[in-house]
Amino acid sequence: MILGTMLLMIALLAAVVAAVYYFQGARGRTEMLPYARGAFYVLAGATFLACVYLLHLILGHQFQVEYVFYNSSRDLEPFYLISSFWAGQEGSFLLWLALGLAYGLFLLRRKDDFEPQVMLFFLLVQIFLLVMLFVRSPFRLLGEVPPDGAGLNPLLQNPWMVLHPPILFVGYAGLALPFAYALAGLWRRDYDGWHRRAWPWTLFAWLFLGIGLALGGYWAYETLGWGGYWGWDPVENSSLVPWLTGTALLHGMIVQKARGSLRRWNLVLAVTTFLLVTYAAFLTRSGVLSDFSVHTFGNEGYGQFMLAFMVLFGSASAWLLVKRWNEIPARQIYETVISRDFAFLLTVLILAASATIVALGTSTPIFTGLLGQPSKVAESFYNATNAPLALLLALVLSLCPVLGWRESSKEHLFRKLSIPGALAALVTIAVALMGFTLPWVLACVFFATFAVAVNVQTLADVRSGGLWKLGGYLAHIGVGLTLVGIVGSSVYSQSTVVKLEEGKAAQAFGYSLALEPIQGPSATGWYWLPIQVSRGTERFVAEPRLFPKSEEQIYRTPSVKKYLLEDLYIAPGDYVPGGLPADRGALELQKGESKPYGEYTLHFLRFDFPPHSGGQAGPTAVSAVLEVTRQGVTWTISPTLGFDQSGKRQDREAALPDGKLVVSLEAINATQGTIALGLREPGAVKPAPVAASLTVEVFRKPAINLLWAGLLVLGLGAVIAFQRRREETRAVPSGISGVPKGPEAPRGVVTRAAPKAPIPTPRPAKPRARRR
Amino acid sequence: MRLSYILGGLVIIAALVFGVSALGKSLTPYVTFAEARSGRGPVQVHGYIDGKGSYDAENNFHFTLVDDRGDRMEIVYKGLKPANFDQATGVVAVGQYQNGVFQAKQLLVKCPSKYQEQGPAGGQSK
Repeated sequence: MILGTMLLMIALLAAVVAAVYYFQGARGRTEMLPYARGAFYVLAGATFLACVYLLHLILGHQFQVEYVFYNSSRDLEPFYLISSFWAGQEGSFLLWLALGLAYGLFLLRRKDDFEPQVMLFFLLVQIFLLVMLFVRSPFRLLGEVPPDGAGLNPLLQNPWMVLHPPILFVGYAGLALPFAYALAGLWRRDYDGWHRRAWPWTLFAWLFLGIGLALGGYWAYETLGWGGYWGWDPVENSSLVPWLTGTALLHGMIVQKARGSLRRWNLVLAVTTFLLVTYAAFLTRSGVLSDFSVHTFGNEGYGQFMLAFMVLFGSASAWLLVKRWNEIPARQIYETVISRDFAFLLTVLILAASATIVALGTSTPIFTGLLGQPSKVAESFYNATNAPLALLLALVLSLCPVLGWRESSKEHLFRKLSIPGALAALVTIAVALMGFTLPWVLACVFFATFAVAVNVQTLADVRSGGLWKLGGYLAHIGVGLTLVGIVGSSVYSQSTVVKLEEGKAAQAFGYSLALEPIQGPSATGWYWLPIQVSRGTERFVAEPRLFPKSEEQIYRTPSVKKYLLEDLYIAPGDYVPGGLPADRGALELQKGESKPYGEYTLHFLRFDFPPHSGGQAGPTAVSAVLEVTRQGVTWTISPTLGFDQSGKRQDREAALPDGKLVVSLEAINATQGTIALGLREPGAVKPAPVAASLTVEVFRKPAINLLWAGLLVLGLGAVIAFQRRREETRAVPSGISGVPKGPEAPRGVVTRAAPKAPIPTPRPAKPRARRR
Repeated sequence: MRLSYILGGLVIIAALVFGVSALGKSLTPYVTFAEARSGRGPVQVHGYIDGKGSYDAENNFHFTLVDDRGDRMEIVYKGLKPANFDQATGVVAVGQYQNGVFQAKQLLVKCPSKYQEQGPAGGQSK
């Protein structure tokens, strides 16, 4: 509304003013910096207030605001009401902007002579987001005041889904920092200082982007019921690609710090990673891929603006890179192939190749659309191309920890690799004996367990060096476990569709599945379908759930039973309630409702409880009191549904005095106040009731829990690595930039002559002890 | 050094050839029903659902797709009927025409809702 729009206008104005002052500051007029900072604080303040205001509108059910109307409703729990904030395009852009500005506030806490350039480029990104908020404002009015909102998709009403978008946006917003630092480094001709400063930010943003991806996969697996966690859908891919290049960048940064090489690579990777974030936003939010994805937004007019900003960011970065390219000191990347240097180079190349493949695959509908018939690539493309890369990566992972920088002796390698190699071979043989015998799967298991074993061994070797040194090894153990989990759960996934009928057990994968009566609804409107699952002596109840939003739209969530080595995953499909078939004289009535049947009209008055009912031990019975009208004559009857002491059905039918209709009470649903009646002519045989049925798809997912465990370990390693880099950055006195004067260049390092190199070969400030 | 450059070059070329051939093999263009029936490789067809669909004895899901020209084709999908199928405005089926029916490997269900943020509101299946 007016207040929100005004706040956004103030924010945009302040952002432009701050950018102009920072531009002057970047050109040496440092007296402008206090004004620039002031304007930045105004920008941040106005944006945070706009967020609070939008939240206020959502919590206050102000449905005259279009965004509030489309993304929330009165019956939402407060927890999910908050997630309405980022359920749509406008709100998620606002969240992205606010998170970016939060990073900015942390940046300003540290006085640093990189500030003007970094903040200038960083502000350009925030201006981009602000423009998107003006393309479609979250404060736009509907022009009417609807009584209730359209509501939030029930599948998003899941705790993981509440967290998933904000975490992803912490990553997206943070990846603007390596971009800003890289361009600032180019501007300042400081080709080493930028990466030390950007490093902890990059790790932090990369970690959160990774958590976001993992949460998205976990959510999909636990709630969507298609048995998978990753579908190579454009939305998923477009977040994965910057994560992969970000991973490559983090490895390049280690090399640059330790060896002073890969400077150009890192600059390009930092810029590319951010451009890929904007490309991701373009692919998923402009509607270009809406025909090719199950879950991209439709076209809402963002496309051309996003394209314009991508071109702007891309050309500005390219111009700066080209201008400085020849003066960036280059250094021979490796001397021999058996060295840590080469292993890191390979890692960067593998990750970049994987990112390129996924980006190209995701973009094929655009390219092929330009040429004619738009096509997309099948999932098999991503799997077939990434599998050999993953195999190679596992090989590098297993060798890297025992390699030294520059060179390593073969005897040392052999000594360090023999035990892990033997262990990996044993595990691989065990896996083969379990019946998983595809050669490339075994190769993958071998290399992945080899990597895990080598990294565990190294972890034990270097633990005296302090906890902070262990992050990388721990992360790589996680990668090894994840690889095995991915391969096992995808290649050896099995599924079968079974129709379950109440009272009749069905078989799947050696399990016996028996459907029990449907339960519910819960307070939130979900029904659950207990299935007694048994195999041998083991038995448990699986409970897939249904949420009938309308007659046609039913949301379903699977039941997942976790075992150590595999998951048994039961996804519900169509549920057909039991009772008399509708075409053979069945009628469902709500309390107080009237329905016609032939010449009769039946009106359901109320329930009645005959004497001797309700006792714990005695027989129980419920009657439905009905008024039946035919040609102006009305009778009152009460058919009864009952059970005797042994739990056997003992119903009492009611015959109409006209002698032409018999009414029986077949079923009651007390929570909804509905009854099901059986109607037939006297003397006619009572039709047999049909059992309720549920079609389910049962999956076996071997090794899937290795995937989740591996991701947890990877995340833990990343947290430790982040702590380490943060401490290191703090240790660097602020305000120092330019080329650190280090000791002599290491022995044997060849410096490639740079045509216009005005500075001597730089060395990292603190050469790290050579790790083994 | 020279040997390693040659080897590296060969690896890159091999990777490129592999990548391009994988891409070519897995491209699934949008085609008309008539083209799909001519039986070439994996394709995608788009249309509207006629009826509600049903499961056969082997629990495969069958339904009829109708395209803009009124052409009809039977689709068979080995899996559960996707969520939101009944309210779908259209369905994209990815697969191949075999033995008189279109064997779908994947079904993408198009829903009329305005937002489909952050998650397939169903319909995605392997």
